[in-house]
Parts: sequence; structure tokens; C-alpha cells
Amino acid sequence: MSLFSYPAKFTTGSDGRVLVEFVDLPRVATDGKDAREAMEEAMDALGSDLSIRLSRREEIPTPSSAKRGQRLVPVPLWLAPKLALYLAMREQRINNSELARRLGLHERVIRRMLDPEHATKAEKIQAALAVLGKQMTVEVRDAA
Amino acid sequence: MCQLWPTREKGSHGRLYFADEFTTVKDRKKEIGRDLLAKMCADLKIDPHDL
Repeated sequence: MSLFSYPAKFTTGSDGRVLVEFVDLPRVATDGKDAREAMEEAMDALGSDLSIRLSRREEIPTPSSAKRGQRLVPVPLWLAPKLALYLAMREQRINNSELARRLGLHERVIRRMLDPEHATKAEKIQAALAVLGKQMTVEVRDAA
Repeated sequence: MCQLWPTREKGSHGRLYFADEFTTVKDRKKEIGRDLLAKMCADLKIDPHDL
């Protein structure tokens, strides 16, 4: 099972702003004027960094479990399904052409599914994940 | 060499490369605090006083 939320440290600085640093993504940090804005910026920063990684086919670190004092930042919904598909393909060593063949689609459709800049219906990615033996579910939990 | 890698459609943060290092940058229209600036400079291995 893959969970799409990353632990981050939220610390309030001497200027009162809240700094957010991601445990598994050491070069990703952001801040906000208060905890609410810091969480909004954290989700944005996480989505931006992961979409750059996806576009550049860079390593996507596996999220660690949150330790005491850390908060989980969810991957934005516009990106999480694409990330899930990319990771499932990588895990099974399946390339775009092979997935396209299994789905009866053109390879460029798979390329668009994996493109963070292209809006893809979640149902299409769900179908692609199903071909790979994966099921996408949604979890709603109380915010910390 | 310095290079900015923005996210085009969604997500207002981007990546700033400086030599072999990189850091995450917020939307340039937004405010950033002292601690975040210090963190970004540390990522890029530059002294904030040099800015």
C-alpha cells in the first residue's frame, strides 16, 4: 500500500512565522504567517516538488511515518493519482508503451496521464492502475 | 550558473539551481521569513549576507 502524505516539521521562528521542513525531501521547505497558511504552503510546495520530480523522472522518496511533533502533509489531489500510476509502473518495470498496449490506448495517452501539467480524469488513472493490479481508495481523516 | 525551474500549471513553488545545489522557492510575490531564507541559503551553500 502506498500512502501519499509526507511528514514535516513545523516550527515557529523568532519572527513569528511558521517554517515547514519536509523530513524525506530535505531541499523542500516553505513557510506561512500562521499554522493554517503554513499547511497550505506546505501542500503547494510538496505538489510543486513532486511534479518537478515526476516531469524529470527523478527519484520519488517513499514517505516515512510521522514522528512525534511532525505533521503529515497530503500530496495534492491533482497530483496523487498520477504519482500512484508512475510508482506502480516503476515497481512493475512497465513502460508507457506496454501499459498503452494493455489498455488498448496510444502511448501518448499514457504520457499525458503521467504529465503533471495535463489534466487527466481520475477514472482513467483508476482504470490504468487496475490493469496493474492496484486499487485507488480515498481516505478522509481528522486534521491534526 | 543560476537557473529557476518553475512549475507551470499548478503549484506556486519552484526550484532554484545555483551551481550544483538547489533549493525550493516560493512564489516571488509572497513574503518569506528569516528562517526560510536562512534554510534556502544553506541549501545553496551561500551566505545570506552576500545577497
